[in-house]
Amino acid sequence: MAADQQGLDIAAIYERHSKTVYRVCFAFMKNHADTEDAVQETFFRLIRKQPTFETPEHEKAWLIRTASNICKNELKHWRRKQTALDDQADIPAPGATDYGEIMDAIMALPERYKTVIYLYYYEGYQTAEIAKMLKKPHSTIRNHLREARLILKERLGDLT
Amino acid sequence: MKQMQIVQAWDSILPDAVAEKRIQDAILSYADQKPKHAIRPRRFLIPAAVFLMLFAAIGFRLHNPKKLAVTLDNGMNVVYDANIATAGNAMYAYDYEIQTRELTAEELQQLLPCSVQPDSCHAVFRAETGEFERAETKIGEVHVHLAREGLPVTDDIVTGETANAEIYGVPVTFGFFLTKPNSRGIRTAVLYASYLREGLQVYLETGGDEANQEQLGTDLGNLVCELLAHDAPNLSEIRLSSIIQ
Repeated sequence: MAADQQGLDIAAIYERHSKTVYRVCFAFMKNHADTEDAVQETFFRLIRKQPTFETPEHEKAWLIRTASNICKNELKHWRRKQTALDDQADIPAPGATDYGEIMDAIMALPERYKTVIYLYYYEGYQTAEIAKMLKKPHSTIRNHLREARLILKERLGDLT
Repeated sequence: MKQMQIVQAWDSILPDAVAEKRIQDAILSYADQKPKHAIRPRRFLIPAAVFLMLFAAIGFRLHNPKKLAVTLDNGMNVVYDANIATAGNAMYAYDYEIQTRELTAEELQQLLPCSVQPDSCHAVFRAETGEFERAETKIGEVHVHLAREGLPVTDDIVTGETANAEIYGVPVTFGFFLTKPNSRGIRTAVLYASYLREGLQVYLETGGDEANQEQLGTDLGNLVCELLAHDAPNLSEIRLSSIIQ
């Protein structure tokens, strides 16, 4: 199975971007089970919407933005359910794992910082590109990055 | 070299082989289930489609009330208004140095006086003057954004000046909106409340299954009442260098 009926080669797109989408989703969901659902939903939406991509970068940006939006919405549901189930006990979600000091510090950041940290440090995007991708003002992204760095610096030491 | 360590830390975030296959299979199977050919509408189907769309639009409006009224524990009625929910991007633009530090429990309690202890949080301060700028935390399942007056309090939602309630003499804006259904047909209700008191902007947001929206609205309204029942925080006491213990 390669291309679907409208011409999008889902298998190839999955191959190209699944890791990025997975990590973006993980930044929000913090556990593998919910990340898996969010990744699937991101690609389901791709299949349903059949967007036209001008470049591979456009394709990747669409997936990152869609994954972020899906996770934000899912979290609102998930938090309520989790609270009801756990009665606010501090029980880690299934699949939550200890990834060491650095990832723990990143995961403890507010949600909106984590994606920016990932896209900037790991994917190597410039803040202007991240702003375009997440449809946020450039200054907002610059300040999210600045604040996230300050918090990480406080927790981990100098990032440079 | 912390930057390299950040990259390495992210490298470890991958599904295991079994999960990877499960995700891929689900996606490819979903792609296969989609109809193989686009259906061309026949002439006689067009009026029927228009009628159905009109019917659906009426149904949508009936099931998308523009107001959500709830009664709080103190007997007060609060109306969450969907008409005042306006989306937009706020602009963060510091042209001065900032610093962050974790707020103490006492400082958090002063900013957010309520029975449920807020999560710990880092606040942003203006480095030169030590003034509090903003902070973000959670009280139970409610996201809370705090900002000094004049700064954008959130990235996205701009609630404007349209306060639609008054609690203990403080004008409060209550709003809500419903997201589009996800692939399982579930819509999320997002409810928020915001107010300005003594130079501190407070924006509270919660969300959950549409079916629970009344309970969400009641819980959020009760929390706002609890916060406003206490004295306003004295922002001049919450500074970068003076830690309240």
